[in-house]
Amino acid sequence: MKVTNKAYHNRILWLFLLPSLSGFLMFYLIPFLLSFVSTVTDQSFGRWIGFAAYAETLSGSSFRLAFQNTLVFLCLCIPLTLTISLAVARGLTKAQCLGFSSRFIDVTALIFLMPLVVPSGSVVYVWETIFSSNGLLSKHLLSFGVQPRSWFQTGIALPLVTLMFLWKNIGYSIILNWTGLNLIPRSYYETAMLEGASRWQMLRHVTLVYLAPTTFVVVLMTVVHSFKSFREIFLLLGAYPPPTVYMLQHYMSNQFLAMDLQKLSVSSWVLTLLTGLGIWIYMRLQARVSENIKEREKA
Amino acid sequence: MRKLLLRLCLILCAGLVLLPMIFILSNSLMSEAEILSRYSARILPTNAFDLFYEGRHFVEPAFLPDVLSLDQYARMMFRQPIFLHLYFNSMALALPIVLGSCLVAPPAAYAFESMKWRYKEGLFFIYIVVMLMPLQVALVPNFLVANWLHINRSYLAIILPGIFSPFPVFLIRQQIRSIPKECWEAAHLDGAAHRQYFGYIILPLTAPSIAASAILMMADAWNIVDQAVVFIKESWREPLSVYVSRVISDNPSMIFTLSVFYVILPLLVFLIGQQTLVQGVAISGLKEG
Repeated sequence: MKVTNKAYHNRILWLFLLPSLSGFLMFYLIPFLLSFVSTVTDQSFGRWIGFAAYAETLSGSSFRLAFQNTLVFLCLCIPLTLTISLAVARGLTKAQCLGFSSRFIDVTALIFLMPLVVPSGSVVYVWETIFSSNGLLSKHLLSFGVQPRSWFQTGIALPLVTLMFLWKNIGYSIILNWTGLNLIPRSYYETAMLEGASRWQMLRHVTLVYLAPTTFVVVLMTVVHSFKSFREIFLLLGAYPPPTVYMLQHYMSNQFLAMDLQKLSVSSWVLTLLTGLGIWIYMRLQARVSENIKEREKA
Repeated sequence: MRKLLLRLCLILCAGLVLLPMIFILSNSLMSEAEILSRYSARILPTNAFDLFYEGRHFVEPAFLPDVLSLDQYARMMFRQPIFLHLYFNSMALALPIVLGSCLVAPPAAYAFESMKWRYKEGLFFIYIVVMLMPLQVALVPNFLVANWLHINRSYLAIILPGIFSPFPVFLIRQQIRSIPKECWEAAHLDGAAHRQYFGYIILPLTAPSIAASAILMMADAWNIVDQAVVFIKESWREPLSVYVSRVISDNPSMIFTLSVFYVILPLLVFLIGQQTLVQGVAISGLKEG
């Protein structure tokens, strides 16, 4: 007869967790915690200087610019991704309802996912072909009397970067939303229709509510992807891009190249703490919505 | 009528997304001379009749080459075989990461779901936060540890952090959540320990998300640029992804062919695993089954 007490079970499960946890601790968590020491000591691991480094970095103009731009970029990307991917996912579920061949739907879904594999260098080249100073846009606008210019250096740099981001990453969110939508039972919509709800009301009270767990993952992954899009911006515009697209990752990467460990660690910690706070708040809200849903389902 | 409209809309969206890739593919079949004459800003004898402004030639992109030519492919595969070597470098980076993470992550995901420990959710929260962080944040800790372990010139400095990435753990745990607890109760009553339950029940059921995380980690590892730039200094040891970023300055006409060459492997992996990928990505969006 096998031993069945809880302690034994947990011990075995710790063995399951050990490889991942030890690697995670060694390569991510512990060095990161150690980097905190470098933020509160002078010349990295010298004498204690308290939070002076934080004050100095946070008041620096380049940090503030980077922080502001990153925030603006996130505020652009997240809503756009959510709405567009939801719309396309709705199209896909509608196609399923209307009886399109599943091959057509699968191929379409796969096409949306493909931009994830295309290398950053090629994507950048294609966008440059369109938007650089001898590119398509400049060429066609010449007949309207507009001076050819590199459009990435103008004010529309940020929207262009957002467009690049959307092209590459929307497929992932489309798939997430598509499955989330498929999980909502049709009976919920039928009940709403019987009670005379309009399309808009159905969207608000049925779809968005029951899609909440999926939306959480979509937001999370959009944040991850938006940080990754740094690579395309870097390839396009170098280490010191125009002011509207100078992101936190540029700041950190430049500090890395300048080997300024302290500033780098400070910005990492600020970013981590703020993101952690944001996610924690979101998770609490998310948990509360889930509870409401559960109660509603019981009633 | 509505069916037609919807079909057209979907095809339009898919087409828009597909357009740059078709562009790259068709342009890879152009000869070097044609690519230079089309896209270069310099005015050459071959593009002198195109539009130009103040001495700079506008691009003349096209989806169909004037002359179909496998010249670039030949150049890449036979005349300059360094690219094959870089290809193998990329494989040497990507394969261990994918295999390693598939070995390490599923047990951890299972443990996170079944374990009873006060700080379990706190630890998982830290996993999520680390997963969210941009590369630059993780790069410094990785660099410090690599220095300490004296692996800061080898591929291991990139592979090891990749294996222990929190992303697959997150993805797989989301799917394990959808397996009801009653299943474990029943198996346990029949005398199963965690080992057997994990091997015979959890693993087959979570195969979609394991496959999906393998595919996504592969796509990610294939695109590694920043870590490779930091840790690998010799140009013959760098992965293909780094070279693609640089090729515009070295060898501009090769960009299209190189991209096609680069994309083929992950694309094949995508195509083969397409069903499982869609399933696995989808399931990560579930909270409970």
